[in-house]
Amino acid sequence: MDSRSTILQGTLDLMVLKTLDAMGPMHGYGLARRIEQISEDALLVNQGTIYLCLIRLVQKRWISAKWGTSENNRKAKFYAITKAGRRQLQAEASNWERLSGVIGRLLRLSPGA
Amino acid sequence: MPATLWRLLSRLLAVFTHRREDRDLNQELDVHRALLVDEYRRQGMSDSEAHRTAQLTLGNATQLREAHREVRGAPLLEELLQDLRYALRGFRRQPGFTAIAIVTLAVGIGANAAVFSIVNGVLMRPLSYADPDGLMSVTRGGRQTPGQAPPLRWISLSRWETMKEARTFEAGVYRPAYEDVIVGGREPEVLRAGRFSANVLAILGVQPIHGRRFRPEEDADGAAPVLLISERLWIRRFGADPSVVDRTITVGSVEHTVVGILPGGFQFPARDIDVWFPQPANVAFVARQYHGCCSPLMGVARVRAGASRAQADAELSVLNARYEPPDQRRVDAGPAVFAPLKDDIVGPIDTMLWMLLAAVGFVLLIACANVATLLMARATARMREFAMRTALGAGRGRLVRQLVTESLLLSLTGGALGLLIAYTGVRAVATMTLFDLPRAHELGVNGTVLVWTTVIACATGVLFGTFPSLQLLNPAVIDRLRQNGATEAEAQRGRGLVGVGTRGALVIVQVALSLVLLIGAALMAQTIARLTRVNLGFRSTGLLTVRVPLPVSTYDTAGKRTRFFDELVTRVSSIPGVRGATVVRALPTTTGALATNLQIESQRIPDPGHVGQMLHTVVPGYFEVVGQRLKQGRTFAPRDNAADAPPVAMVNETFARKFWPAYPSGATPVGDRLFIPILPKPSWSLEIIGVVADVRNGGPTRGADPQVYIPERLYPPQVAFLALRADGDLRRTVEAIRGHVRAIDPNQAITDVRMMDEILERSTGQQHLAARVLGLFAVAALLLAVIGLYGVMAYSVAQRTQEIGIRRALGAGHREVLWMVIGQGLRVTLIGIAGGVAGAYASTRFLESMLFDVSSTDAVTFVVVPTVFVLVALIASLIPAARAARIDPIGALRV
Repeated sequence: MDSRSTILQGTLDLMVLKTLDAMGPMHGYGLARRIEQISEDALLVNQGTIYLCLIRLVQKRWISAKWGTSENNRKAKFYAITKAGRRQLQAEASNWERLSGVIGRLLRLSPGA
Repeated sequence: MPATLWRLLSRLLAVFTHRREDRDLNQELDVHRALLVDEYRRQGMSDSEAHRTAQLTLGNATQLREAHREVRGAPLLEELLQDLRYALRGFRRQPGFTAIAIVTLAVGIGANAAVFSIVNGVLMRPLSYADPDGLMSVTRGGRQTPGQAPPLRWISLSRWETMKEARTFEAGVYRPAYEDVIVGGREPEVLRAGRFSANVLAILGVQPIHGRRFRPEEDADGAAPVLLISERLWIRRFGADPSVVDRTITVGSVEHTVVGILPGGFQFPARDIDVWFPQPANVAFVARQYHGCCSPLMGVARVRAGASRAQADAELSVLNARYEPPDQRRVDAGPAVFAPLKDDIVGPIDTMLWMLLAAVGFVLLIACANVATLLMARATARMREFAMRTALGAGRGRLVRQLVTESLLLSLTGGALGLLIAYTGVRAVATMTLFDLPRAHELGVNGTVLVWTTVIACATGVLFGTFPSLQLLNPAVIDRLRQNGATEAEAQRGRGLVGVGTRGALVIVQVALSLVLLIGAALMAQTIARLTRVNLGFRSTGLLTVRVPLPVSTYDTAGKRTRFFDELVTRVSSIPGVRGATVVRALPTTTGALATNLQIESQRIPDPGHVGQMLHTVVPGYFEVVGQRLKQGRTFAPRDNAADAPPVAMVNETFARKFWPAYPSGATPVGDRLFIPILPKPSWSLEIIGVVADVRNGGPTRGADPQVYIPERLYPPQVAFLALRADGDLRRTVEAIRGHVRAIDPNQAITDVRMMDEILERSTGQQHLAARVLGLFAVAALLLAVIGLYGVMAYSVAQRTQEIGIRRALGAGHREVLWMVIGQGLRVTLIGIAGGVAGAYASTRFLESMLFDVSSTDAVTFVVVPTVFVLVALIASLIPAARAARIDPIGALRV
């Protein structure tokens, strides 16, 4: 896995966790739609890719999956954030903010200032 | 990171739940797709358009499923499982091949693990005492070699006493041999007893499981009698009752207080000892006044905390100089030194064990070569399969992995079976009575052996299973197969003779290795044959022997002992069927004869006189019963054993030649007189009344010592052997002897009922064991090598069917074809034999110390064994050769 996709993967993980945290349990379709809207298609090659991210997060015990009924009355898997997932989200979010603060300051520096 | 661990665990588990996970994913994707279609329809798309767009948005389902599998599972593990399943299926299809390969490997690996267990347990593992590296023996140097007289390494009690004050080390002493004691009670029984100074247990770091160790004051003469007993005896005789500590038990006729029970594994200094006493020098057959100087003891020592080994060495040499000043000679002359204690415990067995390990390594190599040949033949037959898999996209690496998996599967299965073989083998050797293996109770298939077995199993699998097969993955060969769809035979022809060459090389190695083993085994077999042919100077066959240890406490005077033995001989002689009975201090090859110095009246020299004679005491009739011939003078008569008879002696021919060099002509020892200082009355002047033929008392490998025989009455032994010849049922005779012993003394027991031939075989037990094991290995090696040769020849004939057909068509006769094939087999065999002879020539000298009367490069052996091998190889290649000669040229060419 090259570094670019690792970074993307981390970003995607963070977005999924944040979305589930903010909006409660969702199925894959809802999550994919939501992330597409926010990221303007930059993160998902296609919507199916979301499931690769989801299974990884389930295996890490950051989110949990449960069968439920979707809005069109079909059996669908609903994902919810776990306690461990919230902790991870918090840690990642503060990390992210610190990092973006640093990057932001760095970019604001102008020559000779 | 628990999340990482969770993920790893889930991935491993997912390997087994793929079917369910796939179903789940499909369902999720279906829902997703349906929701997308709904959405697009709402946006006004047509049905088919909505479906197509949904498909695009979602992505390729097949690719997604595979990616999902990869993310959630463990692809490497899955491939391994797949390879394993595939390998198993292949093996099931060829049960014959699989069975042969596994059994061959099991024998090779099992024999290796067994011998390694023994080498590891006896030689390599540290002694099972606390801090074994700090333990040393105190001896006078020298190392025993099999078949040779043990060097005199013992130290005396007086020497040990000088070491008591040592500041840098603590030394203790023990009797190197066990003694017989009779433990009384309802059923008196003879037990083996050991003796050591009170501090030995502390030096070894052994704590009794109940009770206490000996106290230093219990080493002194006249201390209250105490003993320690083994856990085994405690359980067997006292029902594991801890209250036996502080109770008394009768040994001989003396009540001894049990002060403690020693743990089960404690077998010091020899195995099967059940009772231990303090007072190491207090030995039945050494008179009390000689305890200080002349009781042979072995020392054991440990460097004290804070001192170094160098300091201990330095202090020991100071003590040596003090014990033996330049103007004084001691019985245990020469400086004492520290040596590894293990050498004393293990004894001179290491050469044989290393040799067996080497031999068994050869067997494994041969077994591997055989399996390699089998695998190569199998791989050749699978060329098509490999080509097919390559064509379907399998990489070379994947195919190699498949081959390695298969070889490992074979060798690990073989290894597991081999462990069973090893386990049984080790049990058998450890309990073997012919051969007193030191530390036998410590032997077992332990962790080290498991690791060793796994390592050799894997190594054999990878080395011999895979390397030869790799050639078949030569891309050129595979390409040709793939492109032309050529037949296997054509593909192989493209490979040239490489395959046959490799196989030929394997056979050469097998022949060479098995020849080395065969020559070694032949040398050992000759040794055994010659050992049994040696004339020992008496008739051992049919001589029944029984050991009779008289307790010192009951039989404390010479008179009591003489009365007992006299009555025993009289009573036993009267048992129906007994043709003669006698009592002797020591039988040939058993311990018990006394070394003595003496004066000869006609050849007096300053004290201590002539040293190095062996003294035997015998009941008259001894020479007749054992069949030792009289050479000069007369033999002992019953009256010589009477209480008031004038003291007499007999000598053997070696003694006669030593002091009367002209013997048997010229001056004769008969009529001369001996003075023997160790006898109860050193002033006795013993008249030499006769000369008897030599007996090899040290066994067949040693010559005769100068021997003096005196009537039993002059110095009756404490422990003696009853020897007799009897007709009829020996068991009934032995029962009758037991009855008579009880009739004379109800507290007396006998032990070690054995035929003399059995005792002699034990004395050369190492040679017997080496001959048997080496013989077994050599035969196995020969069989494997011949099977290997046959296999290669048969294969090569099958390969060359067309070629031979062409030869036949061009006019070659039966005979020419026959010889062509035999010649090929013979060429391989002869190269192997040349290597084997060279190898044997270089390596049999390691056998030298165990050989008897046969040179390690015995010319006859080196000619006969290879010749026999060539004959066997000829027969092995005859069958394929005959098959080749029968090939029908037309039929072969039509294929």
